[in-house]
Amino acid sequence: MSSHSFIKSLLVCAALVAAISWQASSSVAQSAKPTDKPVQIKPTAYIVGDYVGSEACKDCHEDQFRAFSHTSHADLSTIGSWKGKVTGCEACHGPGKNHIAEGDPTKIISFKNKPSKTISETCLACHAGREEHNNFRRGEHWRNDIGCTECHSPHGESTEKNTAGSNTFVSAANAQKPGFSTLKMLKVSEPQLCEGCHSEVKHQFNQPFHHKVLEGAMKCTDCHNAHGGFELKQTRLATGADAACVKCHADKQGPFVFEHAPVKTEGCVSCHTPHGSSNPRLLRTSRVSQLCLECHSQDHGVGAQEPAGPQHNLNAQYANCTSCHVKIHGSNSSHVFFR
Amino acid sequence: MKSKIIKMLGLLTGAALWLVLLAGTTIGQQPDASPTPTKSPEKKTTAATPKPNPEAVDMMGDYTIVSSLELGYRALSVTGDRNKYQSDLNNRAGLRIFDSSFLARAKEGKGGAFDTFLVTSTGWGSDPYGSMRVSVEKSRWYRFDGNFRRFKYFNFLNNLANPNFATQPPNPITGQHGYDVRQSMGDFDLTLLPKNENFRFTLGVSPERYSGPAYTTYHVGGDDFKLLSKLKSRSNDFRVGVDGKIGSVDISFLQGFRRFREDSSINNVGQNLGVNPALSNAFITSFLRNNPVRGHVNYSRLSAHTLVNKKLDLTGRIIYSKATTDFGFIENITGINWNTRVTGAPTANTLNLGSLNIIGGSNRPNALGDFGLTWMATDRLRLSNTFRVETFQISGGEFYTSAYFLTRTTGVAFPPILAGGNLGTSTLTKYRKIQDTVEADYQFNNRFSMHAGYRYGTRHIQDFRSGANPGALVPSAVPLIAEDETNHTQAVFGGFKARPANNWTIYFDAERGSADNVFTRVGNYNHTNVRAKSRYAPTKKLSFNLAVITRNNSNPSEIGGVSLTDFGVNIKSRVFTSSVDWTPSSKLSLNAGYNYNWLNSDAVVDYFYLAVRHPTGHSQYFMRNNFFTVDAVAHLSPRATLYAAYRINKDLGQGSRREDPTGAPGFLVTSYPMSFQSPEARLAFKINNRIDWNVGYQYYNYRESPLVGPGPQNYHAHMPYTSLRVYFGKRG
Repeated sequence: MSSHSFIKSLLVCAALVAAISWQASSSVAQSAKPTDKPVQIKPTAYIVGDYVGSEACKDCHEDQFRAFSHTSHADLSTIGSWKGKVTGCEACHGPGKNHIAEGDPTKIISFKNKPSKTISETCLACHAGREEHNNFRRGEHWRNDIGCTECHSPHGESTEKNTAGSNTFVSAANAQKPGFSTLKMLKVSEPQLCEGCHSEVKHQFNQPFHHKVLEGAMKCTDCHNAHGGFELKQTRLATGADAACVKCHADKQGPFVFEHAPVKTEGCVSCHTPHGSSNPRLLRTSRVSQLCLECHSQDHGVGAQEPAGPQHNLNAQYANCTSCHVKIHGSNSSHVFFR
Repeated sequence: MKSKIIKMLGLLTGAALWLVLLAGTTIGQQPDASPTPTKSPEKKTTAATPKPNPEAVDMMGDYTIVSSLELGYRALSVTGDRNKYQSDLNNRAGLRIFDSSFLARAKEGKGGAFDTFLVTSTGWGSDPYGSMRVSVEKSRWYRFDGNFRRFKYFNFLNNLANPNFATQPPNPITGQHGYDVRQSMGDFDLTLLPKNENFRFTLGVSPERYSGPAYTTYHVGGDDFKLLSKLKSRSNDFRVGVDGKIGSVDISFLQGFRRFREDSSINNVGQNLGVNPALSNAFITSFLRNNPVRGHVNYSRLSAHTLVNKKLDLTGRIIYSKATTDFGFIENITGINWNTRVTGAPTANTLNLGSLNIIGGSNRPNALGDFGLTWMATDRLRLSNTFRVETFQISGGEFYTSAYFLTRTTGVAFPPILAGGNLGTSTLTKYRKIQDTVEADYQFNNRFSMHAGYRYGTRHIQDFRSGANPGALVPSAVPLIAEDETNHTQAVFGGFKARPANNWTIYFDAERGSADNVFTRVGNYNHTNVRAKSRYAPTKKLSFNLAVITRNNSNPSEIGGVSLTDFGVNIKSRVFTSSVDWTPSSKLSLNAGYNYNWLNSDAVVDYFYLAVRHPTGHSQYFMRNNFFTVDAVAHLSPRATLYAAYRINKDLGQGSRREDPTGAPGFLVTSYPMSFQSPEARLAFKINNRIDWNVGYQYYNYRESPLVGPGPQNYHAHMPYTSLRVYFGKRG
């Protein structure tokens, strides 16, 4: 089967799955009619006297209250700029007066079975203004309906276990391992959290050459902004508008008198696979000369300047282009990147 | 002094940790005052979740302490290619600090100097990659996040930069670009008034240091030489910013300053025969190079965001940066038989001194503007537009002088060769990119949503270069460049998320893009990407994940009316991934996964082989990688816990395909067939309430096909280890 046929088949299958899912979800959703309409939290629609404060929730929801009390959400009421605003449990769940008075679960906003975007909108009501979150509504996760609570535990509870690993200790106390998840209110620590969905990258971090994420020396969020952003792949920027890579690989930043143009115009991924590879230097191919030739071959005016014979004879020691062109990321003193 | 900053910060952080730990153990003898947890009705939703073990919690005044430190020793036995082992893993025998942590958290969320103090650390001692992260917060007043990392990189491979690569001698030497370097870096950020809605201040510094010996190669005088260099560079990034709210607009401003300096040098004394060691060829007797570089980047970022009537989300961002580099270059060489082609002097000769001096610099102003808009048309429908414009201009220039003093072997001096002076080169690269994305997403109900969009982009690149060829003894012009390229790209994309059942979620998205011109032939221009994922959790203790990802990338088949069907690049990849998580009981959990990565890359290339040109040869690269992983945690008894895992990457590569570089059109075929597997097991015994004893073993087996390089770099590594984990917390 040709690749085009394969992809067409896949798309047809996807359309079928979508149709079936839609149909299935529509029929299943009939039983969930009261909750299928996205809910917008609109505090202004409520009467101020309906708010009873988080302490009132404690009697019935002690576990949640205690976990919540350790989060940075909890003490907003003591901060001047939050005075007069609804904080605590009711900031998300709405006024609790009727819920407490009648004990009726329907008299409080619950997020169970709510669409991810609806839940996220509640979070964004406060968090959207931060630089880190500004573009969440246009990010990859939003687009694919991954909401805030897929990763974060809003009550600050550790709702999922950390799994032991080569660099993570294992014992009866494993589940209570403190990590940065505690402060960022993540359900579990990185990279376990990210790999839960992005399992396709897991093998790359187990290749002979890889960025040291599983070793704990790096995190996915060192390079990616899980909350969106204007960059493709939700990558971060370094030192202004440079690629995230130069934050650590400072000597590749330049500018150079003689730039290797693709580094700046196409990015490091033109030649490297950043997560991991069996190829040295995380290159896309195992033999350097092939990688170079795939650009440095010219026809119809397409392609970069090609190496001329005979000194670029592939059967000699010149098979490895970077043996001579050592400063391939850019050079100040050689237009052919010799020094 | 500046070079000590990162070490001092690390030492201060470590000292702070240990002081707190010491205080914690002293005060921690107090009775545990943590209340007994009570069940609430909603707790049922997390019934399968392991709860924090209250036994490992201690009190320090008003703070709850959760902490442990693990110290141990690892032994190491490596057989096979030790260079490759160190290039991959670089674990050493010796004392080791394992994954350790310290958390002090105010009981009621509010403490004295801090509400939360967290330190996590891993990989110190004999591990090659060490990391320490610190977070201290008193949410009303400040938050400090810091991390310090240290990497020990070792890399000596026989299949990279190896002049014997193609000839495959029986005893292949290692490649010529080996290194053994250290890199340390950190990020330290302080936010003042972090929860204040109206204004917040941020201060940050990110130091980075890189140093160590490395081999490099140099093509000079008519031969190629392997030289030992001393790498040394450092950078410091300082940031100051303010965030806040003006009316209903959230504003964020950041001003940053990065300073970079490189002082790498080469100072080799002694005879260096080069890659072609015949004495009739050129060789070096001494080599000195100093190439100091000073760089700085000043950057500013302004972001604004507002939500109008809870319906219209507007976000804008402007970044302006200016990067500047100044450098000097001094190179002095002495040698024998400098090639006539280079010097004009007949061989045999003696190079008494060849000197090259270059000075120059470059700068790159860069402006980036982004604007995003989302209109929440209804509670279900959102329409968005994201616009980007980016420009930068890189201009560089340099001047050189060179002087070569040679003597004929007859003793007659050859006239000095002097070049340079006012000879220089100037370069200019201009880049402009404009991109706009329109998209919509619709929430049908709480089980089905979908999105669709269209992205348009255009890029314009101009590249100029003129002047003298830097370093040329016979003044010559650098090949002139005056290029002007434009391309236009389009892409449509869409996808959906469906929940056919409460415990089953499907994600699907696809994108198809096209371009009318290419800048780099292997770039992602005409593409069709499809991604489908499924997560099914029949119970809270069992979940299945499946995913299929396909990518087809190729160049446009036609540019400017010229067919490129015979000069194309086609890259196809297929990824299948699956995993299962099963927690049959609180005493056992299992995780297993399988991943298959299929890649075919085929590019038409123009190459020389045995002095014959192959203008329409093919460069093919294949991957057929199978990755399997399984791990299990079993609490065998109240005192014993077992962790066992197995991971293997096995790439079958090109299979039975063999390259045929001499054919017509000729095929260059490569892959990296190899297997890399690692079983491991670890047993933890609880000795008493404060100490666990661990014993573990990890094994690595790496094997690669002879197709990979001049000789398989196989190795086995055995790593038994033992350690004590000490809990700074009461355990019953």
